[in-house]
Amino acid sequence: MTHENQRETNNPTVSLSEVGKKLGVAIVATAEYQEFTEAERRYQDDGHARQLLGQYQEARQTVQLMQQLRSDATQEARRLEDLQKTLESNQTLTRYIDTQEKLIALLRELNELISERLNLDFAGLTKPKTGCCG
Amino acid sequence: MLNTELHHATEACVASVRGAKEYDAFMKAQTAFQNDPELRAIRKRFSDRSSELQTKQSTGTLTQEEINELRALQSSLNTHAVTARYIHARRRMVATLQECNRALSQELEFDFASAAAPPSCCG
Repeated sequence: MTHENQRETNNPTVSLSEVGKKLGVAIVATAEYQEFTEAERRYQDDGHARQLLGQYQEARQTVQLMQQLRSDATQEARRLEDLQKTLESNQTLTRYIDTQEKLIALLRELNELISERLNLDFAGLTKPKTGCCG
Repeated sequence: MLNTELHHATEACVASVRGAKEYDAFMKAQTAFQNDPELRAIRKRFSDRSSELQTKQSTGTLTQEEINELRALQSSLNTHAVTARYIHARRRMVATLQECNRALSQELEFDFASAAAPPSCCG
């Protein structure tokens, strides 16, 4: 080991970046990550699927807003239901959503393990502040 | 269920964080913050007075002097040397964890912490 490498190993900052990178590489190698990136690529290439998901998200937000405002959301809720059925029959979207959920479940499991071992909430402490929760 | 490689990489990450001086300093500062007898006494006084004054507020008998007293207690909690050390150590600890998260997220091409954090009130 060179003097330079020795110094790097003893420097926790360098070492932390290195282990973070290695953990990232290990996640990228998982089936969950690979399947998600493939499904995401298909989704990005499929204009119809993107449009459908956009319409569904928009309709869901509208229904939520109308319910919060105590307005009659019956018609919009029916539209949302129809969009949901169309969405569920679209293979690109179901695969995209399903693989995303599986990858997130894996990342949460990892975070739980790290947090438990460190006795702190790793992701909660490091995620960027969105500001919506004050 | 995590595969062996992922498990090893996670353990290496945990070991490296635990070995960092920022982690050690944070853990010590946190223990002091939780157990310091003077801080505990101020916290208890603040909590007791806070409950008493809430009752007074609901009956409309709360005075400005009492509000000032509660504010002074809150201020003595926030400006206590042990609290200041804890906040400083926590900031340094978070910066260290963020460095690890940045390196990890760069490989993933999205922010690991945002994706892995438990759902909050923001959904």
